[in-house]
Amino acid sequence: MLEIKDLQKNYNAFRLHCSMHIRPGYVTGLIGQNGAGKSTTFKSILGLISLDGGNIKIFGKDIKDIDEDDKQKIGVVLSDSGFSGYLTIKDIMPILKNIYEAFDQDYFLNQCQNFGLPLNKKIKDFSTGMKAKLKVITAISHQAKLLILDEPTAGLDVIARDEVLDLLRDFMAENEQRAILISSHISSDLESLCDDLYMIHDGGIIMHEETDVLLSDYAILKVNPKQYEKLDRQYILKVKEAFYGYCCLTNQKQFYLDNYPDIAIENSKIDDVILMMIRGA
Amino acid sequence: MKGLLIKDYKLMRSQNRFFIVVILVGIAMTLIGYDYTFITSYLSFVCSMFVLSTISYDEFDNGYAFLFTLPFKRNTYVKEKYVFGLITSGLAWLFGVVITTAFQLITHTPDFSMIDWLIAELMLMPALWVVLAVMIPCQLKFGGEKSRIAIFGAVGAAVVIGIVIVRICDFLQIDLAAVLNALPSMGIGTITVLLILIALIVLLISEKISEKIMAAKEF
Amino acid sequence: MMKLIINSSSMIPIYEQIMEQIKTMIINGELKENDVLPSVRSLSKELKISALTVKKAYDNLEQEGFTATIHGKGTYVTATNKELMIEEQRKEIEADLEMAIQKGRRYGLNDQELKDLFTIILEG
Repeated sequence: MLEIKDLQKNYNAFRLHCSMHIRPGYVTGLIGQNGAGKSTTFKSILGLISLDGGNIKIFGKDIKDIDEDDKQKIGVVLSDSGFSGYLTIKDIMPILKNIYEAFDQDYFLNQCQNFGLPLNKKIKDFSTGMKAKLKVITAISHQAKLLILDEPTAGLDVIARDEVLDLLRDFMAENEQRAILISSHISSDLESLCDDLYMIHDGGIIMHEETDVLLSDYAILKVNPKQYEKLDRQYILKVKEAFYGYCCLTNQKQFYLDNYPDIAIENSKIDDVILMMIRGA
Repeated sequence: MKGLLIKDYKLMRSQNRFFIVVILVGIAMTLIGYDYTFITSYLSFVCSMFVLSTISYDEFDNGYAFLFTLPFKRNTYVKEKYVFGLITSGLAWLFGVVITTAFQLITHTPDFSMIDWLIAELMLMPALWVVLAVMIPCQLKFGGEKSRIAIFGAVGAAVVIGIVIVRICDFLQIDLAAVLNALPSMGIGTITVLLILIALIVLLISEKISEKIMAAKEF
Repeated sequence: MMKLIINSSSMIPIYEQIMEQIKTMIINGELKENDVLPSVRSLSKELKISALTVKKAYDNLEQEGFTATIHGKGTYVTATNKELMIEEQRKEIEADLEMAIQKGRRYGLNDQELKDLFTIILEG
């Protein structure tokens, strides 16, 4: 549904070079630090900035050939941009109705009310949480086939994040052919929603793995120097020095569980994997 | 485009207090002076500025990024600004004409020639359009602050060019006044139509320039 | 909704945990023949995990003969030989006990000590 091949974008001190593939029926996450290249990738996909190299295809078409009809089927949330803050929800409803053919006003209104969003208040006076919820509701109210969400849960408290993620789950449940590309640096959100994850660092993809595999086959081994000597290291991806010796990342948890029953093995969370991939050797 | 028009209309409406002040000032000025084209030109000019303020609202707080992910072409965005400008200034012009007519009917001031006045009012439109044609691309390209400087610069340049033309004519001993007086023989109606056409062409050129500006912009 | 519990700190992969619990529910009759399992998306929403994980569990259950999927109608429980399933679960317990005994022997416990340990735990 969305194919990114060798996308390149150069800014002064920063170079982005990545490839990704988002398939229908999948929720794909993009995780990375601030400044790693997430927003740049999104802006390239959405035609907000030009590419210095590579190509991007949405719905099988090159993004240069994307027309308004294609854009009708794309829902977008940007972390730092939205409707003019001087408008109210009541103002934007007729705007959305006239911009999106498939805009479902009842659903939109219902969700706004469910989340307690004030209809007559100017958006600039909304709290961060309310603004974020409004953006997500807007993106899912017009029967989009593809959602591109840049940090939709940033600034939200735990409960609000849960509610927003549930909205997205419902969105996927309604139609098996939909897809979501979501970026975040809150890995617990991605763990519970995404089917596969791309990790981006310093402008490049350092890992791409299914969430399921990350949670079941990846593990952190904590070993002292003696154990480290004896360790069969063919499945160790990264090693980091620790005060107790060494911290190792593997993607073959079962192998080490079976053969080294004495060493400390922990399930790795996504954050652990990221830290190891970035800081480890 | 309709959605965009609604958006700009809503943005304008959120400024309704400003509106009322503008109208009151205009009416006050008309009562004080006897310039019958004042209120119309004043109102239309102010209303055409609304287009510029919608552009700055769009730009505010990085709003452009989200705006251009919505399903419309960048060219449509540009066209809508011109349409909006024409509509608002047109409506303001109509309003001004109606008010002035009403005023005239009520007060019956002497020395008032309906025809002269109407023609003066009609000449306003091309002038307005040229102003729009200059200001919209400036605002799009340079954003709020810088475009104001650019406009002053443009007006200043126009004044200087005017002075230079007058000086050259003096130098060449061409009687400018005679030339201008000869023009009415072409028929004031023809002149008005000509001016309107020129203004329209200028608008079209401006629109194309604006489209190029927006096409190249990155967010 | 099915009451499945996922332990994210367990060494057992999540999809296996799902499979085990569904199998147990089938054995003890909580899930009867022809009962329809919740859709992949709705279960993943409830458990707050990736839909692919649920799909993996469902696919494996189908492969092992516990469920069948009709396109458009969902996944339902098939008639299964309960004895066979119980037998399978027995075998898993045997394997785990085997591992524990081996470990005990590695640490130098003799058979009597192992039996005592077992009894203590059983009664505790």
